Amino acid sequence: MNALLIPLIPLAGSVLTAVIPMKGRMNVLLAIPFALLSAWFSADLAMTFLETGEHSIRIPWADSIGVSLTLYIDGLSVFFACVASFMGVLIFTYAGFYLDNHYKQHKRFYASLLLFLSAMAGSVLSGNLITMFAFWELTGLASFLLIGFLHEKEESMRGARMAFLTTGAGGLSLLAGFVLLGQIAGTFDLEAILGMAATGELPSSPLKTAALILILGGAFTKSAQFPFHYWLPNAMAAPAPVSAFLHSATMVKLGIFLIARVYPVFSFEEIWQPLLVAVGVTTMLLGAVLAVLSHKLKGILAYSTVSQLGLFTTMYGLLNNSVPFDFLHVANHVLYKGCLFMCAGIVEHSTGVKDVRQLGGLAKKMPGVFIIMTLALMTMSGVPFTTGFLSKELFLADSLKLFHTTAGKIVTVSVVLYSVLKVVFSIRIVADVFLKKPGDSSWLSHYHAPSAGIHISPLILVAAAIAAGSFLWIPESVTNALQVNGLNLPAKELHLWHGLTIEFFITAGVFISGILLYFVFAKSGLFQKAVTPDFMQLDLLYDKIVYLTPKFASKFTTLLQSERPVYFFWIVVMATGLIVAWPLYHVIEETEFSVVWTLETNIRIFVVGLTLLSTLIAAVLRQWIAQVIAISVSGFLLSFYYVLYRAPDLAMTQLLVESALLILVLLVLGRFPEATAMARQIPQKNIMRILKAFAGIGAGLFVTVMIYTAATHKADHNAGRYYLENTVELAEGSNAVNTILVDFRGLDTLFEINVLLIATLGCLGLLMRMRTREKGPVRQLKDTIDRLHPVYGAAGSFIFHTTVKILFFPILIYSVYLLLRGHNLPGGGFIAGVQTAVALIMLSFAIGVEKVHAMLRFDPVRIAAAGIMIAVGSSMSSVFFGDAFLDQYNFHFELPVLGMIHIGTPLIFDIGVMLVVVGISARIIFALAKSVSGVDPLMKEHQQLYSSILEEPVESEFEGAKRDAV
Amino acid sequence: MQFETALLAGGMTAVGVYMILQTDFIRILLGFMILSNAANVFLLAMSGAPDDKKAPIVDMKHSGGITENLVDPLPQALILTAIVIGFGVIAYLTFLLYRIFLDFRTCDSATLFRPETKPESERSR
Repeated sequence: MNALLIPLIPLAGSVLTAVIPMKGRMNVLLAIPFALLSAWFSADLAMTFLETGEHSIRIPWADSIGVSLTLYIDGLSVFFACVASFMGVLIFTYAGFYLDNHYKQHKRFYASLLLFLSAMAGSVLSGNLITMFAFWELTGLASFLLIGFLHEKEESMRGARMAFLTTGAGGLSLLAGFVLLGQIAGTFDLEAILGMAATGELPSSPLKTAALILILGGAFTKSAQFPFHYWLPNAMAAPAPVSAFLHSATMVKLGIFLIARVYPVFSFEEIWQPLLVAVGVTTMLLGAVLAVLSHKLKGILAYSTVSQLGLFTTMYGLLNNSVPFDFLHVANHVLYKGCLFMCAGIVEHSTGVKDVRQLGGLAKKMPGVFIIMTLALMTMSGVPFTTGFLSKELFLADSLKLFHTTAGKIVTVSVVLYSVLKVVFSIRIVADVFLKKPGDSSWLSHYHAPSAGIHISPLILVAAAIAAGSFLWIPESVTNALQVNGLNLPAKELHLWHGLTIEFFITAGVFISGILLYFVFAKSGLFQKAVTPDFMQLDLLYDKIVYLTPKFASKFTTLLQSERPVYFFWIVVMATGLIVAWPLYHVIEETEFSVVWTLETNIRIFVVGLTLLSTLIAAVLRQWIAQVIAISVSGFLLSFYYVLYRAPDLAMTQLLVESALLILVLLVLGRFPEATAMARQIPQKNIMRILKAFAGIGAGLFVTVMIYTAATHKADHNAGRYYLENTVELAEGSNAVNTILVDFRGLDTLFEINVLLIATLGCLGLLMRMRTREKGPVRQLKDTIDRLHPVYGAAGSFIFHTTVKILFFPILIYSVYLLLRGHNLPGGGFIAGVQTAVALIMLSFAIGVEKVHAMLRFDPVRIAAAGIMIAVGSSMSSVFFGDAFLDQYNFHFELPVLGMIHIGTPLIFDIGVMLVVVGISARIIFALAKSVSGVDPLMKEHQQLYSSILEEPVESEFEGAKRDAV
Repeated sequence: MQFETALLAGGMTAVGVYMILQTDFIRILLGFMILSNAANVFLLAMSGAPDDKKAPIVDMKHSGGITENLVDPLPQALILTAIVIGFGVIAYLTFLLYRIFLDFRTCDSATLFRPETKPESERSR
């Protein structure tokens, strides 16, 4: 279980470092204990692993989709976890000295670094593909934050974005590959998949090659393989500790780790060897050439990292039976490259110079760094008595064994070439940075010597590289434990000295030709004036793609999208017709047509005729006010139709809502009467009119036929029966419509009242929006109100005034009655709410909005919000008693005069519904209603918010326009 | 058979669609109102013919209540909320059209997309 702490401790540390107050560089003291603890637990894990061997630790998480927090402990994961956490300790130590007070935001730096450590440890230890993917992406995120740490610099922003986009795209590919692999294997569990691969039980599938390519896509982007290598040199914009940690020692090795991880599963695939060798060799050689051509110190090292990663890829590709001592190669690179980046960081820090051409003569100024860096460079070029030598000899021996194959020949030659170039740029760094005279002495004035402490971490690394290379102190039990099933065959022995073998002669040749080549290059002045050719700089291509993508997207969108939404309507209508018409035609063929003429049918036909007539009139009429009234008439007639359909609740609701709507529409339209008059004269081509009429008639026919066929093909069982039969027993109410609303389908109602409130807030938002046009004189509209709004004509009358005042309270009382009886008889929250709202609106016409508002005391929106809270509260109440959400409780008791009283949570719920309906209807109308009694139209505190209403110069402008026209 | 209900919904849909396709804001708004009523009638038709049936209120006078011969309450419950939500949505549409009118000074959606009607801030794009 302690293994879980390796990623968790840095994760907790990341949060704590970000939160605990600490100043400037002291933050490292906060962060370092977490790295130390993580390293301690990984050492502990390694010890237990030596005794117990491979195993998984499984913590269930989302079992239904096969995702769990699993740690898979084997040689590979333990090795990488140790590398990450131990390197982490060294990096934090180094960073403590490196990040001085010139830097800002230390807190953010260390928090991100700890986050990375956690993600890295999590990725390598993950025993579940999906979990591994999550951690994998987290490393990319941390890397993004760290590369962009100096985010004021353009270079940092570009580097961070580039790394994030490239590795992020690879991450998606990886996820797709993992999902495919999971589909093939039937599980995401790594131990199970590797087990299947070992016993040959993994089902063969054509998808396997696709999975392989997709997974390698993730690995190649992460490990900066050609053609994705461009992000790594650009990531050097990060501070040196980050470059040393993420972009040389650990994160870029995740891709290599992944290749090793899936090696047992895929290495026998036909495509494995050619793909990996081709990509690896290209990366290796390209990286080496670019390293020779570069001039920035960190740039040279970055390209050498790229080519070394290419070598790893080549290694796993070429040796498709087993890769002996792969951990040795990786460890070797971690040791010297981490050290080199730290040294490069010290040089850059002390001199402030990045270009090696300007540097020089540092051997005397910083002898410590000189010695450490030279030793590390020797390790890199593979001088005997270093791990570099061991690694190179081993790999040469392996590839020479396969020299008889084409791949073997290519790899051997490339590795020799790469080694020669490695020698060349190693010598160049030593010569240019430390030995030659400074190319540009301007930096000397602000040079400052590095502190002693900053040497600690690189010294430890290089000492380890030489110790391991000279004495080979790795116990055999450790090398045995690090062998992974399917990846490594049982170990042969490691030797420091192989005798005068062919590898030895090659190594000697490499050194001699490397030194010669260096002098040739130096003489020809290549190191001074070399320019990287454009075709090798794939980051230029990346820039182009990033630039062109949005352009393409906008072109493409314009192509598909019409500015006029009406066109979409046509498409929807026609598509629906085409899709549904054909099956419908078949149903109609079987439908028998019959009408039974009863008295009731006749009445209904009469109402239908009247409704349709008024609807048609609305379409034909030209005066908007007449149109609105015609629509209203059809709405009111519809409520009568609901009565004929035995739906008293519907009829009441329809009647009330129709009134509220009529008022709303009249109010709004009254605001732009002149404009609406203008709209009347919109010319329209006859052909368009006919087309639109056809679309309308088509849609109408379609609906008619659909209803008719649906009615004649009725299902035997309908859902409504259940509610009818259970309304009394389960919901304790005899009005089935109401019990459905507040009880059976209470959750729906709960959401519906939320929709109402949202729509209202949207309405208010539309009124409040900033005006987009500043034109014309802004003046108060108050003086024009009476003239512009004929709607208010009646409001001034004494009869209206008095009638409203008399009726108001009886209507309210009747609303409450409707609410209370709703559960058993027609009525309920919706109806009571609309009725109350209509009463309030009427009152506001009579006495003015402001008075009504003062009477309510609250903004109606708040009333609606309170209603929602009441409804939610009453639904939640059952939860506190341990029952399901929306369960109901009822209390019955008898009162004098009123008789039996039933009070239950459904009633409280209904009260909530009522308040919401009252609030939103009142608010919508109030927002538009202008006072007729001379009082300011809206509540004073809202005048600012709704200023667009008050100050709209709309009418005046149209008056002007009309005058001009005349 | 509910031939007349089918006719009502169909007729209202026809008029509603025709009006929504116009360019005049007010016709679009009214068309939308008609369509939402048509949709309600559509739903109502699914409860079956109401002839010789009673409203979906269980008669409690008889022991246990009589549930036979009542109309289907489910479409009614659906329509009831639909009416009220329709009110909210129509209100929103009304405000939206009003807002467009304030910003663009037009009631004709056809002119809305002509370049000279756009506000200055958008014209330069």
